[in-house]
Amino acid sequence: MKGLRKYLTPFAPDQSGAVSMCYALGGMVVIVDAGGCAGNICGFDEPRWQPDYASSSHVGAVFSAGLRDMDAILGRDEALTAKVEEAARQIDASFIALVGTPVPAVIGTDLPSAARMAQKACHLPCIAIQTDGMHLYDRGIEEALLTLVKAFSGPGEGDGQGQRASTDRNVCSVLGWNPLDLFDPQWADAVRSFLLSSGYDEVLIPGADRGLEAFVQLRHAKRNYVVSPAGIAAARHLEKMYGIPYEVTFPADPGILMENNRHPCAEIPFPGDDLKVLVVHQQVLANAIRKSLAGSGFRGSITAATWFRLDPEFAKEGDIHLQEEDDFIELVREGGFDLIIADPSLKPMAKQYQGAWIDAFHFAVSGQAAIDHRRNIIKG
Amino acid sequence: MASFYTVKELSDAKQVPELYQVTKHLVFSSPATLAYNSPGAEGFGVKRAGLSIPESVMLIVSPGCCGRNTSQISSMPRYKNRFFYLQMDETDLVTGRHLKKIPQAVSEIVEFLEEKPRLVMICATCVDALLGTDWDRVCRKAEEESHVLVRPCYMYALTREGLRPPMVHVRQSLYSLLEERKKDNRAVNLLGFFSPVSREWEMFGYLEKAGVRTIRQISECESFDAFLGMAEANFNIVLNPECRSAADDLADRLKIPYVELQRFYDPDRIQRQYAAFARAVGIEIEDEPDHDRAQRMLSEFASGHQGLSVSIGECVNANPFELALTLASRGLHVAEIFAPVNELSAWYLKRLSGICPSCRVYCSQAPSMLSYEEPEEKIRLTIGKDAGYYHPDAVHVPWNSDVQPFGYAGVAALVREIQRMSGELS
Repeated sequence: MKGLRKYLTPFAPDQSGAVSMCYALGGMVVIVDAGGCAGNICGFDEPRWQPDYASSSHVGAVFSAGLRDMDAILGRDEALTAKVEEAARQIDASFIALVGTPVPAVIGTDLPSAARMAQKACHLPCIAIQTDGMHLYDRGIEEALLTLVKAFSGPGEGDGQGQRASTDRNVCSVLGWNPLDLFDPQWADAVRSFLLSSGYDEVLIPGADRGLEAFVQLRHAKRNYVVSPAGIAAARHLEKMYGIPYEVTFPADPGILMENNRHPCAEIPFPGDDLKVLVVHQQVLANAIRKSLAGSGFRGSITAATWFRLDPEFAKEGDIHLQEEDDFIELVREGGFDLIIADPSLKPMAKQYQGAWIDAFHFAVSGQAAIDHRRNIIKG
Repeated sequence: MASFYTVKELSDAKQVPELYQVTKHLVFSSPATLAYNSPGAEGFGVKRAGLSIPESVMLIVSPGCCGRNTSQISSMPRYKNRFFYLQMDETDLVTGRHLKKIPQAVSEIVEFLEEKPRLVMICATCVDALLGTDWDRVCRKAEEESHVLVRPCYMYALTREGLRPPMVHVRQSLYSLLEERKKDNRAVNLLGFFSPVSREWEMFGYLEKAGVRTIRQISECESFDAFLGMAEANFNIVLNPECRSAADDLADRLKIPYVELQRFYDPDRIQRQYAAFARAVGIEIEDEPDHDRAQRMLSEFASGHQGLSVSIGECVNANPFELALTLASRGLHVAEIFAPVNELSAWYLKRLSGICPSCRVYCSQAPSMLSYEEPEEKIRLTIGKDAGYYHPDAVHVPWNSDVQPFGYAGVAALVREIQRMSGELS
């Protein structure tokens, strides 16, 4: 039945993706909800809120608007503005982001207008990210990233019409990074190290780097590396505005995608020419695993599948977009796969499957299981 | 700096300051209290509460975001295969078509499960609150098609400060399943918590001595039928004010009267309450030995720790202000309280202002708590999970277990727990 989940808990929603993109930037994030959505995000979907996530963990200025029924019924936008203004007086924030949830979606709140009111009242840049909790995290990241890029990265020295800003530094940026793909604080570092060792002087990772500076400097990038489909829209915008070329790829050792950080080929439990492999992750990371296997001499067929955005431009024939649980159940039943590389929370849907399974955690899918897994690794 | 009022300022205030009215400011989801400030989060929020009845499962009908953190609960063994989801999209919001799918979804779940559930709880969220969905009607329709009981529970964060907040309604919804039965004069129910009240509570003994043979609480019912047995009770004891509406319903519908008891940590207050309780239900309670023992334990601990600086949180099996008064009146230095202030706090604040007027009272959900810094005076002991977050170097007594302490036994258990740490304190 469409929409019915019997095995899986819902995946990370768009509002979680949006908050993850804003979290480290030194702004004040206001989730326009009644409290439950903010609790979900801070208590669950934002790994950096967890004190044991990484030594760099810190509590961000993420608040709930605390909407109540009469606010919703009467549409009291001015009350929201007053609350934001009051909080802005107490918090040292460089900007404000209003993040949408189902409640403003139902009552038809004009979030951009609310952001303009807040900007005027607080004398701080204020952006609206129009999420509604009914889409998936990649859409929220895309919306937030594009909004932040438009708000803070230009036009500056570039002419905004395709001309690149001049700089002597060899700078690149990584677009679409987010902590919900991999529940591993090392993954931004791994990508940065790889690109620095490739000859870049500086690697900007908007969303992972503290503060807004990464966004301000984006126009100086020589190249943008897009590590998730959520980064493609921003990359296209930056190409159009500043002529910055982009590449959709995972610029690091794909071992970080795998359990215990081992190279995918090292994990393949048996040799063979006709093996059929299924890789399930977000599209760019699934492609990276496929590329890694292919580059290591693997000669079987590899199908990439994703529950999230599948951009046809970066897909191979036979790649699959999954939507319902039954899609995955049928794919595994009919696919004749010898090996599945996917998040372990999908295993209960593959009861009859006899082949091998390699865990590749995807936090936006498994959530708690990924957290527990990481904690176990830390405990050793 | 985090905003606060002192106990003295609050005691003198004509009304509750806006700092403590969560609807008046943005809400900070402090990591200290995170488990408690979302109706769907950890602790006994609506989701866990809705599954208190054995042989029940839950269908969460909502946008995906509302069910997301349920995987945290689903990882607990007793909730395996008990949560299901019907995800809404934008078209559902406009047309309400998701409501037509619910009977089929419930039937599919029943068919899917090897062990058939006796009850399916439908968990509804804010969007349906705004759409004005008639859940009783939807549940009746689902019952007709699936042939199992279907009941709604409302995870409506929007109505948290309303007349029927989610945690009040979920109790009403659960107890609405009880149907009239022949009364058993020797049966009593404990209402209020979704986890068991500690069997160390002396009230079990007092009631037994008075002739009560069966004391039921929802968390100890091992089957759906056992739960239905709660309808036989002669009277209910309400231990949490959030259950008052459900008790009113039962009094009205099944003619089961109720008596309410509060949780105190001051043995004298407990004794006065027991005397009133005994008069109300017409039994005799001889609690002098229990009272004296609790009083002695508390006094001995206090005399050995005069002036000990204590911070008390809200994530605690206690009324933070009552606990503060109990400790402060025995010579401990209560320096901080993290707790919501409301009209019911006034009685305690008035008394506390005479003992520790400069005690700071924080609202954990205020935005300024992001900037909380430990005070210069060193806090030695924290009671409450959240207070521990703010003072990582102090001795922590979280005192927030699922099993609920109560009465003199609760006092003794708390003192024992603090004493377990007393080596570190001294």
